Amino acid sequence: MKAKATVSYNYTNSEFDGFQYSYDVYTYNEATDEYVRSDGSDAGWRYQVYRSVVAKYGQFQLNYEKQLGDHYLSVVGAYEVSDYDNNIKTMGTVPPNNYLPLLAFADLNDFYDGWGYEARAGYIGRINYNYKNKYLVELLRRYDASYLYAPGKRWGFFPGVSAGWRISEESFFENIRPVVNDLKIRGSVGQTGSEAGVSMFGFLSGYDYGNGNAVLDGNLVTGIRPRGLPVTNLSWEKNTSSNIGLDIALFDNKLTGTIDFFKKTISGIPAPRYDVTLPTEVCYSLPNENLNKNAYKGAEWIVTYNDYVGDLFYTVSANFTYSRFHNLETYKPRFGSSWDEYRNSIENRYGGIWWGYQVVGRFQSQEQIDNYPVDMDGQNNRTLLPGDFIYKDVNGDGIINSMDERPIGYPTNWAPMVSFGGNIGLEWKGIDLNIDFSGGGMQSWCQDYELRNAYHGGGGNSPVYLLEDRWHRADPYDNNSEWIAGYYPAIREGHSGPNAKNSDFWLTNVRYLRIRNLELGYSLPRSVISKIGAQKLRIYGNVSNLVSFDNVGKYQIDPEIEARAAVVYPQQRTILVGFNVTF
Amino acid sequence: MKTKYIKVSVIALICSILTTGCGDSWLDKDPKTIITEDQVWNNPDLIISLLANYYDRLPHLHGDFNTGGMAEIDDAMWSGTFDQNSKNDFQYGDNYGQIWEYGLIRDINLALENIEAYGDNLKEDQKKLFIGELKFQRAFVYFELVKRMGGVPLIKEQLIYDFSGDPSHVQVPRAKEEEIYDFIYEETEAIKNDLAGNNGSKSRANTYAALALQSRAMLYAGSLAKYNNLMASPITTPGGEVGMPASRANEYYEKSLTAAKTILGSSNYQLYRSNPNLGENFYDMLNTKDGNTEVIFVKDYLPILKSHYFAYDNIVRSISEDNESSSALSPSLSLVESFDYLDGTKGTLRYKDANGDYIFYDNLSDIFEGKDARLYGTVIYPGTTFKNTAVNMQAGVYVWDEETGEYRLSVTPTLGANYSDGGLWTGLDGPKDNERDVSNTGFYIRKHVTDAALASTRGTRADNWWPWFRLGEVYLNAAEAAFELGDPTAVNYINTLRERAGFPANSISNLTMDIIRNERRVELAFEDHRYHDLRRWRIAHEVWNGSNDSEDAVVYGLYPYRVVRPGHPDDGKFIYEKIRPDRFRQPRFFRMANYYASIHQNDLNNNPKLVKNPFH
Amino acid sequence: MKKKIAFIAIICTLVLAGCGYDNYDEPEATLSGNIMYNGENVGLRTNGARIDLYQDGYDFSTNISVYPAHDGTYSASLFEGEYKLVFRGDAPWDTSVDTLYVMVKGHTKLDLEVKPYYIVRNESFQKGSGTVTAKFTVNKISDERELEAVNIYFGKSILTDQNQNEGVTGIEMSQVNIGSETTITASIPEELANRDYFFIRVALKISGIGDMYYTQVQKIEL
Repeated sequence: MKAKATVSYNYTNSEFDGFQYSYDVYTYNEATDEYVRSDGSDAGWRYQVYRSVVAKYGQFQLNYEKQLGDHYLSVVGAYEVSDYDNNIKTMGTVPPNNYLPLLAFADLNDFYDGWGYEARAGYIGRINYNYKNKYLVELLRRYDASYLYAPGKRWGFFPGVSAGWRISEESFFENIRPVVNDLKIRGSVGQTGSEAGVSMFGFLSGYDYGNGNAVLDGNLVTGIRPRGLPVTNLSWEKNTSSNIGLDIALFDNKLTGTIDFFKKTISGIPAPRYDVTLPTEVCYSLPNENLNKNAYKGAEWIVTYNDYVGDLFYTVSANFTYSRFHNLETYKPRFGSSWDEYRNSIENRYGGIWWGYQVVGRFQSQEQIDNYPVDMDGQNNRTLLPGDFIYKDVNGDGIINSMDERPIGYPTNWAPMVSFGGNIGLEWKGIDLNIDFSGGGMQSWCQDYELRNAYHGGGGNSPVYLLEDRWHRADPYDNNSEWIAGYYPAIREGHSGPNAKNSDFWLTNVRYLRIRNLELGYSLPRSVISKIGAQKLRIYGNVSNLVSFDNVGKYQIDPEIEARAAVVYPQQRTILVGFNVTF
Repeated sequence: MKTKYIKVSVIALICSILTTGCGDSWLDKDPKTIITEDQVWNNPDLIISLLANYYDRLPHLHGDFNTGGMAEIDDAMWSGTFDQNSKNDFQYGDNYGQIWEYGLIRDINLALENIEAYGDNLKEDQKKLFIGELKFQRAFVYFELVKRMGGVPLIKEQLIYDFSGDPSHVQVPRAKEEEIYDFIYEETEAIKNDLAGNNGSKSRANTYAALALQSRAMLYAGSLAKYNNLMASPITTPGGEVGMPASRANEYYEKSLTAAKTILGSSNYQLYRSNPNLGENFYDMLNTKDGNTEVIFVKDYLPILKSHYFAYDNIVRSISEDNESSSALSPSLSLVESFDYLDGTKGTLRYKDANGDYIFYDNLSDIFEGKDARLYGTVIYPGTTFKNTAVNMQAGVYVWDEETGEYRLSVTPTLGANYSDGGLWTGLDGPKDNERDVSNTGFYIRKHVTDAALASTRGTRADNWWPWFRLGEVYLNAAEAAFELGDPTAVNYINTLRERAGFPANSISNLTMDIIRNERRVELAFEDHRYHDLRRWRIAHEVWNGSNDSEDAVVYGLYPYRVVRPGHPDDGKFIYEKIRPDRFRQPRFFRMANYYASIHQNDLNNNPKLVKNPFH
Repeated sequence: MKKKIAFIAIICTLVLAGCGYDNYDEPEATLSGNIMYNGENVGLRTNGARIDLYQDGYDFSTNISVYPAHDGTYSASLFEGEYKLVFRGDAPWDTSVDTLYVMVKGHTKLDLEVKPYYIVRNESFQKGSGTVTAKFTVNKISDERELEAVNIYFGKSILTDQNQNEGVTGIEMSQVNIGSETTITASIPEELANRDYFFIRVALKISGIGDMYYTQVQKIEL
């Protein structure tokens, strides 16, 4: 029996101090040989933030372990509490000059005093049992409370159980064991809780002080605003993860593999309980309760093989994961028509579906535009130029509008639904080589802003490929010269005209495989290094993110980004060279 | 034995820690920002705080320094950042102006119920004053609703759902359009005397604010009753949610005139005339707070503590004190031409003579000579000053080419650059076509842009107030109501107002509706009246007819050019050219469906008793 | 080895089953037809008059908006079922007609007979030099409203109407014969005169209604 207690007290402090000076910009006037002030800013900016956070944590644990012959039992019980108190003050002034940094009351233009807190408590218990390492069982339960919920709804109960059966230890497996060294089937179901759907003090009614203000009779009066209905029926969201899997080792543990099927259901997602619809004029929405459900479903496997060929030791491994998010159910979904249901329902539906238009061709000439009976831009095609998109008129009504939208892609800001990878390792006479791969697919990237609109926003930067590989006139000064085709449509300044509609031209299904890590090393032989008294000396070179094989090369972006204008730092390639020595 | 003792004591210690740190008390803390119901209603300061929150939330469409909204009608176009150019390239959608602000109505209804239930310690006249202000705010919100949506559910108390499974007791159908206007009349009549305690205040509702609201609402009701029924097909719904009875038009005009006369008869308010320079006076009327007798009810601001960005957004480019933004609104040529000449001629600007040749002016501002003084106070045109600094406007040069024997227009993309003759080529303030943060029409806005120091910086911002109601409008309400009633004194109201604009006394002898409408446009430009006025006169679909040939539906500009012809007497003079700004892509297109905005589908779904507006 | 292949095969099928963009079925049925009067389609402005479809049996009644095309045809992509059809909006025909019930199954065709206030028949256009001579007959169908204006619209594109056109010729009401043939000569707008062809149509403006009654667009070769 063991007992353990952990207590921590954490104090964090952050200060920000910013001072922006006023400045003048001068332009040279050739005629008078003078520098004249032509621009600049008369306004300075001075801002300070003081933040202090006190976080307390305590955990008290009791442990009991016993091996009785073939049976092994372990029991753990614990209690934890945590607390987080956050105070922030900000102040800003309009600095009267660029010289003095101290803030004066008369110059204040901003002041804020704020506070927030979090507090949680929980009980944990776990029992492990195994018989001869052949039958394994674990039972786990948590009982957690959160500060967010109303008294009476604070505690959530989250149990879990897992079991495994090592088939290879069974007697009937004796004959196969030389080939299949290890075979284990396991399954588990467990629950945890998440907080969502309400913020600090959501269960209190009354008025919020400091909401809005008005100048009444020359004085600034701070406003108070009525809070809505208190949230008293909401409690934890429950995440139930279940999985079933198999571990196998064959041929003297040379070939090992694992496969898992999993499902994580999130239930109790906050939503208002509209047993009946209430008119908007009643004007409070019903408070959130735990009502909706969604899930991740998927499978993954990994296989590894290692062996010797003479002096060469090699290992190869591959893995693959598929995981897709489904919305399962919402509370009493209501629709207005079968189209409304198709377009907006999320009952048992894939999550993150990207809706948009389909581009089925490009206008080849002005004549084709003039004779085309479908209205692409809502202005009788008057804004169209050769090279612009021909959208698919899905319902054949002669106009492109939201009724022509269909699902055209995967979500953009989620992890790829399919991810895979592998590893190759080689070792021969002190030389070792290790290559790691990883890749993904079934994710989308949407091309927008600077990468879609030339001179985006009026004067912004544009990538070279947008300006070079586009439909354009042979002579830009001659409105009658012929059109030359390109990949991108004719550019407009700052926007993309009728081509701005959300379509599958701008949405790419990203697929990539990266050589994530490549390391080559050489360990000098014992005979050499023992002369300097060293036990081991290894020199190595390592490249991370060496190359990526993907289908987004023509956009010159990193395949693992979501930002539509790619205004993020891509993954960096780093090369490392070094050595290890052990004495 | 000892180990057992230690074990037990350890367990005991742990248990005691567990029990003390246990349970819900660890999770509870005192809220530092929440006030309870009974704390509010007996504390007059907290009640004023509640009123402050509601005053701050009073709804409007193009008011309260909403630069973007002001760029969506025919008085101006948007000349700010390109990503907002949709304001120059759109059609009024079915839901333009859609509002369903029942959140604020519920909060006010709740306050009215609670002040009776909890406010025992308040003095009687104080309680009446607060109740009066709350009812004023509620009438204001209903007026905004009925203006934009027609009849709406008239809810005067809190709706409470009893969780019985049948929501029909909280489903209130739409009231008739006339019922809402009648409600506004009854409420303002009931509270006008209770509000007398605030009669010295400009930022809290007082008797005259209630009367001003009444005057405006009744005028709108009267014109809807009259002009809707004069349409070839009046816009109505079978249940009267939309459509006022023609027979009541005169009754509403009477009510509007009576309310207006009461305000005009009060000694509290005079037309602002402190500055002998009438153009500057019209600008000061909204820019000066001390001793201002014109405004009746405003939304007030304070430097830094509660300030707005109108000066930052719209100040003349070269006079901006910050390094980003300016000039988001470019007033239109049609607005400038609505200001008549003081001698009575129509305001069309003479930039070309009868033969189609340019007229050469000696000075930039000569073309605007002799116009209604309100033009100076509303619009900054070439050749004037702002904040004692000359505005540097010139679109380009009009150069004489000896070889061809002709003039040609020439502009440069660099603002403020000089031409080869050493003089200005294109001004620092443009106007420049297809550019951002500089005028695209040759005009800047002066009204509402305060000249206070540092008002155009992000740090300090502007503190001039927004006029909800002012005396100038009351004169116009009186004139219009009297005219519609056939009252011959109508013309006196118009003439008084025009005298402040520099016109001679009795400048109008033969009053017509067109004159009244034009006066309303030039007096109340950029004060959130134009959109509502054109709709209540039922001429919006004719003025904003979506046609590229219309002078009103399309925003035009007028660009000044300096004549360059060395040695010739015309050298250094100025000519003007009318242009259609490139950024202005679609003419304003107002359809029948825009007379009443659509109700949002969610609101229709939630209350099956709601009837849709016509054409939706 | 065989086991491995079987393994991989199982996984692949599981994965492919979850590979599509959406796991709901798209609407497969269509409802289409013509808006006509007495055998001829009514010409319209794109995005103008509107037909609403409603479906019973749902908690809310949200309309599905269908905008007929410029040539008077309409089409909607729907799920099978019974729909109610209502005319909406500002349209050049009498919209106060009863609701129609239609059963949509597969590709359903339904021609809608409307009652416009005025119509144009037998329009023909003859090219002159720099001018076009238009001949057409305006017929009055209903007494309820007045005919306010008759315009001829020129366009460079087959999609031409009161909002987007390259030229408009207004015709004096005194020159319009109701019930018998009207002949008007209009000059071809400058910007179209140098092209190979242009499009032309006649439009009627009914008082109190924003959307006009149009003839079918015709192409004139130059």
